[in-house]
Amino acid sequence: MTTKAELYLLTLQELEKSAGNIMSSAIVTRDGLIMSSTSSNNIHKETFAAYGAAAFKSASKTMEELSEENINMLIFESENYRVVTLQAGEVLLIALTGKDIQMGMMLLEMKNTAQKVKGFLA
Amino acid sequence: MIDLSSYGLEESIGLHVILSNVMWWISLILVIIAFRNRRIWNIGDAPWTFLFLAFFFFGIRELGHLSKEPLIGSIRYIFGIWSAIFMTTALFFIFLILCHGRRITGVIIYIPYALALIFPVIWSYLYISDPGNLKSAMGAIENITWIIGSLVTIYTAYMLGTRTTGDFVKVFMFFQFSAYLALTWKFLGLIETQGFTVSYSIREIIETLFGLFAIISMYILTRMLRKLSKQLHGTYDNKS
Repeated sequence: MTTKAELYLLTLQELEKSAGNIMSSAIVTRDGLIMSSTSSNNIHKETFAAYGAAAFKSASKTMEELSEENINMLIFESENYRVVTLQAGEVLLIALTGKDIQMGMMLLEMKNTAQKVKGFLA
Repeated sequence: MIDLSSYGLEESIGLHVILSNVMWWISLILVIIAFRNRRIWNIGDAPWTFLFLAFFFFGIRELGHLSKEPLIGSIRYIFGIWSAIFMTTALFFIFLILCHGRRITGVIIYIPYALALIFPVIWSYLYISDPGNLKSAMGAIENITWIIGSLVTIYTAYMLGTRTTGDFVKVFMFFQFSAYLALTWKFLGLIETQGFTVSYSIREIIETLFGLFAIISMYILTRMLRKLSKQLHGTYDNKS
């Protein structure tokens, strides 16, 4: 029997192994609190989680206003990085990746991970 | 001689003192409970320490209300000043961490302690040179410290509230309300020392509301951290 915290971390590690160039990933609550995250020396985890959750909330509001539908995924990118956020039940799965990552593969892996997390939450 | 207490202008020990004491000490307990879950909101040791010290010193300041001794009253203001310094710094550090991604390390951690140490020195100097005005002088210094601290906290709480989401917005919103009330409370105290008449009861109502919003803010934070802590420490039994 493992704790949920350990399970979340294992799931994130699996995601990073299978998807490749993920620099940091985290499972965060909608309040922006970290449930689990992989280590990264360059990014402050709390900042990553707070901004990730806040961005998803803003995007969610925008989507609701424009299409009257709920948001499932948020992707935004800069010159070298890409941030992918996926809803996993009541929580969010956020990944910061390099630009050279295979996006199709990455999304598939993230969707699988989100499904697993959803299962753990139930 | 005019009896100031009949006009509600003089300091008194009443319900507001008891309420204020209860609220600040409960807030301190809430900070300790939140601190126990600090791994979930890992903003570093410094902001947690300063948050603890801010509530702890304000609790002591409020205990000072129970004595009418001018000397105790003047010492009480030192704790009030310390509380202002540490509360402002705690929010400022959280602002640096969450809004700017800074790590709080090195000399910056010791600045609030160094600043706090100045005031007992000032108190000692005044105690030797002008003991008659000791209480009013320390009161004025406390007013100014809280006014400056509140202004900084209003800004940092605003920045934090607009950059976070979920219940954190409420945490920082109530902290900002608290800072606005602290600003009003101390501003009224300051203008009173300049000769304006401000009813003591009005200032005390504002002070009590200041404590009320601080406790609400801490309650929301603690509730959020405890809820997630319970979720994370639960076990998962895979039956499939």
